[in-house]
Amino acid sequence: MECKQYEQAIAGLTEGVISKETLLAHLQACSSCRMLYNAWAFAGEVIADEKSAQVSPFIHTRIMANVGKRAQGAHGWLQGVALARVALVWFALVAGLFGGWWVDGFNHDDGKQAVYIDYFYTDRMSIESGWLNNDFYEE
Amino acid sequence: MKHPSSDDLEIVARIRAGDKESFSALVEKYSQRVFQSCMGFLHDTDEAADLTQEVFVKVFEKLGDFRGEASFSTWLYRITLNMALNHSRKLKLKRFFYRFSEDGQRPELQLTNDSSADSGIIREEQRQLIRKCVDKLPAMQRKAFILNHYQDMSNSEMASVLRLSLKATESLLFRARSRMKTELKKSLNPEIWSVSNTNKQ
Repeated sequence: MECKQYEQAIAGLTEGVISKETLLAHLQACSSCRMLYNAWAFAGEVIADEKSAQVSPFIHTRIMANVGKRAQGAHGWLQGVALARVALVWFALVAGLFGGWWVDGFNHDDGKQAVYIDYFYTDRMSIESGWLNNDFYEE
Repeated sequence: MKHPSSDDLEIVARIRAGDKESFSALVEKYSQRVFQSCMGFLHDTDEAADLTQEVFVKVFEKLGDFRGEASFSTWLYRITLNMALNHSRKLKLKRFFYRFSEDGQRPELQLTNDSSADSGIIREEQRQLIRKCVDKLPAMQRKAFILNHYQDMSNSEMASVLRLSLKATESLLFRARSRMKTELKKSLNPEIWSVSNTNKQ
């Protein structure tokens, strides 16, 4: 039997192909397989050691504190968004109101503008005669 | 690993409804298992504890994405494996740069004449070699190997976590063990492995 088959048996890749006694007899004679056997067995111990490590008893508190912080952060963010929406609505209302006044101030027509335009585009003489013949002037 | 549990789903529903204190029950139940998986990837208790914390915070944040198609524990282990794998890759890179950042030289082991100290150093080297062999496994093989050896999961449980068929999972685990054996064989150095296992520290 070749070493490769013993190596497969050492790594648990084959079951029942090689008996324990045959394997142990081979390990006595083959240093290479013996080293692999030692290494594989030690790997099992290293894994068992790591596996048996206990998580810190404070991990629960740490996680919940972190979760609480995140939840608060998310809640704070949502509150911020809600406040920003309200502020935006109020800003739009106020801006609309004052904007309206401001625009209205620009376009405020006291009648003079219309008279000037009429005067420019229409028959000036008829307007002027109208003014001259107005009752106001007659008084 | 627990089978799909209605308890977990009830807890998840309560958390979604705003009772974040219920999350405490999930942490209590799964923190050790998550920590064990993290240990398989990181081989360091402090790093594994930090990652365990990160995993649970991520789970809390992503709880809205949990659709309940698989059990909560399966979903949790998937997140754990992915985060642990990413973390171990980052750590590998960090360690690489840290190692060469000081003077461009790898630190030499301080050997003494004390035989017990020698034995301790050799034993530590052996541990490091084994950890490296685990870390050298390809991502999916490593996940399967860790779920099987660190979590004692059955093949069907692993198949569920890894989203593979039972046959594919068995094959993956076989290849993982085979690769582990090959890596271990490559690292066999008589100076290191001639120390008998009975001479342990």
